[in-house]
Amino acid sequence: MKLNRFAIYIIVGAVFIAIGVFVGLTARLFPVAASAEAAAVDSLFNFMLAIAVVVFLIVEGGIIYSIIRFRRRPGDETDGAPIHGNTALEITWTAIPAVIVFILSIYSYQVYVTIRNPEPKDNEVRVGVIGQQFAWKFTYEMPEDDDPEVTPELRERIKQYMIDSTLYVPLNRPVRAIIESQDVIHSFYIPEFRIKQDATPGRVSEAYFTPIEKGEWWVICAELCGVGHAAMSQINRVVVLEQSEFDQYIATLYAKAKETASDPRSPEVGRQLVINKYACGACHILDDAGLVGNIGPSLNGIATRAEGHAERGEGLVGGTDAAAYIRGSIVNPNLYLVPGYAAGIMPQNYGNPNVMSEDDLEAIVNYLLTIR
Amino acid sequence: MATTVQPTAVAVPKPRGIAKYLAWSIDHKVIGIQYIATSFFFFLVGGFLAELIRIELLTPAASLMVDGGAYNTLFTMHGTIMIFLFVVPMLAGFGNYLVPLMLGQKDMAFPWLNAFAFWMLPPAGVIMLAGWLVGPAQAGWTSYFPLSGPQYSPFDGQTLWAISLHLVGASSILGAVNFIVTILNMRPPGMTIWQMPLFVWATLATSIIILVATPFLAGGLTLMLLDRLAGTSFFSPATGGDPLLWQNVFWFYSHPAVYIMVLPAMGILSEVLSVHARKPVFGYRFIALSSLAIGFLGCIVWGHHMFTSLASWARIPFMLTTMLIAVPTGVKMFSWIGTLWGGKIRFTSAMLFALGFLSMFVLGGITGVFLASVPVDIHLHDTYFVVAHFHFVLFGGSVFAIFAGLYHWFPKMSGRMLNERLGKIHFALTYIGFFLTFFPMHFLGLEGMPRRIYTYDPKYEALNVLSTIGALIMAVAIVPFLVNLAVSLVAGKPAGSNPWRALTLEWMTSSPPPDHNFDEPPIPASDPYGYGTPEGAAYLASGGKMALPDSGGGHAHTDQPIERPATGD
Repeated sequence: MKLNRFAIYIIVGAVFIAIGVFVGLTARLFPVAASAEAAAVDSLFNFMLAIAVVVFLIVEGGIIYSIIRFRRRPGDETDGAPIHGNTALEITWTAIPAVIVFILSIYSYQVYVTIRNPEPKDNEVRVGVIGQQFAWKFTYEMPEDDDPEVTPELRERIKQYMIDSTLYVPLNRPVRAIIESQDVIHSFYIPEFRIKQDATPGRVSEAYFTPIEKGEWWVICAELCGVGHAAMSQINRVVVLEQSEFDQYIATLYAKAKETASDPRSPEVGRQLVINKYACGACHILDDAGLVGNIGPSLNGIATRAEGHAERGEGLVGGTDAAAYIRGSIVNPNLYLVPGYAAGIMPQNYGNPNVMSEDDLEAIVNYLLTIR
Repeated sequence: MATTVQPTAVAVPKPRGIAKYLAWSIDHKVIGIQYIATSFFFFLVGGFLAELIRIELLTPAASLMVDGGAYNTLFTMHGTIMIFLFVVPMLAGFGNYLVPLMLGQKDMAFPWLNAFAFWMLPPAGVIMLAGWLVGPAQAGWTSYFPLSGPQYSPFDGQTLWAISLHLVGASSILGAVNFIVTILNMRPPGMTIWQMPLFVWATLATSIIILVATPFLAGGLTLMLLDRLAGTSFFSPATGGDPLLWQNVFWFYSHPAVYIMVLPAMGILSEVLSVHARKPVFGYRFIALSSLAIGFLGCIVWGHHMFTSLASWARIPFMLTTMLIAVPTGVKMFSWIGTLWGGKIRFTSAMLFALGFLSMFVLGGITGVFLASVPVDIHLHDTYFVVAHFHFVLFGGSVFAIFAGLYHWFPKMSGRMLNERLGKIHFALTYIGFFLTFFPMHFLGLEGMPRRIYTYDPKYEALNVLSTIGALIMAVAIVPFLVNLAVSLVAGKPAGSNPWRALTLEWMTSSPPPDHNFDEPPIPASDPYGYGTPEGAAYLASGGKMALPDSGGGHAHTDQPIERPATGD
């Protein structure tokens, strides 16, 4: 009789473990694993899931069995058996979870050591990731250039235009993302790569991943960053390219940057800056540049409206003309508020030349003066 | 002889009836009910905000909200209200009402301090809600800098938020001091520390955590207020401050706060399970000691909230401590199942909610282990998986236990029984609604849906619809409970002193107890969970008047303060 009960426990335990192993081997609960590191994380997760399923079944099974088997029968007013405990059993169910979490800790540590990859590798690609309210932007390293006309000063100038609103990375090469924030905390998150790292202002942090699948996914902001936090998760894409395509992309970006650096205040440069470097489309609508944000006022027809504000003397900085209104709206957005929009939503730091250079500001003003 | 539990100057006539609960009172029973009623009001407020959140999330596009700011305010206030104005004070209310009764005393050690601690809460609540008049806080209940700083949160609601939490924190600290002194010094003769009811044990462990952790909240809030109002820059990187300092200080309080909200709930659970299963608590000492173990470990795991911001070497030790918490938590879970095993389970509403806790809290515990693992957490951090996890802990755990406690002790507090049929409807709807709301969130998080967003990728829509349906079921579920409360208060079946035939001391007096609690000093049962034993049956039969042969053991305590040795000077 006693042996029988013991046999039942063994059988039930074996069934639970079989279910756990089955779930652990077959469950695909994460999005596609697009980085080399993702596979290790996914195996760890599924290993934990298998144990979790067994624990879950034991506990829920124990509860359900108890409430059926030990329910009070009608008319029974007696108490249950006065069992106060069982030291051997209690030590067992303290020790087994302790061993399990010990194993999980070691396994997790091993996976973490392999995925965090702190040592620089020869073939790694470095990209800059900058968080701002409410978009990401990405900077790229410049390719070699043997053009004798490109002086070190010019190269410095070109460098600041090596920026884009889409993250392009080559297939099968380790990528080191250097992550910064321009204002509040953001969190750089690409679920398909299983990476997440906070962009904390005042700090430089890093994330590592090796894309192993071609494709295009969202770059998400996972840390609350203000009114546009939700929008920030559906603005920027990461695109994995073949190495040749990636080289082509960098060459094109560099050529454009070089051109911009020669005439940094032209309206066409301003248009590119509005689209890419300053990600104005996170908040503003501007048909000419394909911007579709809905957090701030629309920029369509801004030049015409700016003339009206200039006549009324509203929100002007560095002059009395329409350009002064646009400039004021950028460097000191609270100076004049478009009705229906609150103070403090637009970034307040574009007046800082380290955030927006004088050239960039004038290029954007020149561009927006063409929007009628 | 220095202190006395009697008020010194009582000239005003005591208010009676409802008025008693609206006035200053130093009776721990009145204060306990004041806490419970106030925090229940905030439960309804926080629940209303939660319903708005779920209705907004029914569709991927913006529907209810004018902008992201309005939505940010919703979840900021929902989280803050539920944690600081509902769960924490609700459990303090249970502690106030029950601890002196369970110890056979006429009041807490410091009755005036007790009343003072309670009366900080209503102003805290008013100040919190007043945020809506001046531009409410919208930086999340975690209020990370610099988003919550003066530059990015220029509205005064954020300042009011900090002031309100300051009051709640101070109230909590005063309450904790009172509980510790009461529990350590006022156990009745015949009750050693190993014979205390487990709810009292849990309150003791909780109070120690509050005393260790809450001053850090106060410190953090003070620095926040200085940064916001006095132009300092403790947390602002632009002027040399460090945003991670806020995260460290905040989580040094706010992680232990989880245990402040869960340990007393676990204490309630031990009482309810044992009484309604008619069986001794299984492994009393393991349960009591695991509360202390959880309390200790809970103070050294805060870094797991920062696995995506801490330096990578610093993540490992927090992973280890966090994993370890699973062990004492598991001990409790298994001991409770051991308590059910071989019992005579009565499916009262209190018991149903307790079983609801058991079956749901386990999921919150298991998902906690996933989040403890750094590589897995990096993917899941700040996604809906985390939202699911803490709602299984705090709703599946704390809220289910609070309802279990309300059904269990309402007869003691009011002298009347709650209606069991309405209670069962309440339970069934809450249980289904809860599961439907929060279970799908695990999968959303695993897929990568970040939290705190009001517009989302349409691929997440189907699970969000399920979740919103669950939330609406929970909104309906509260109706039978409110009706039950209102009707039972006036027309409920009289409860008698001990409707559940329980052995702990709060049942050894009339329901509701007289002002002085016990007509004569009660004698505790030698085993507060001695169900099924001849001693337990004899004790029940005697109505708690009978001294048991082996009850004199241990060191006797009196309600006198600790005697201080005479000093030379």
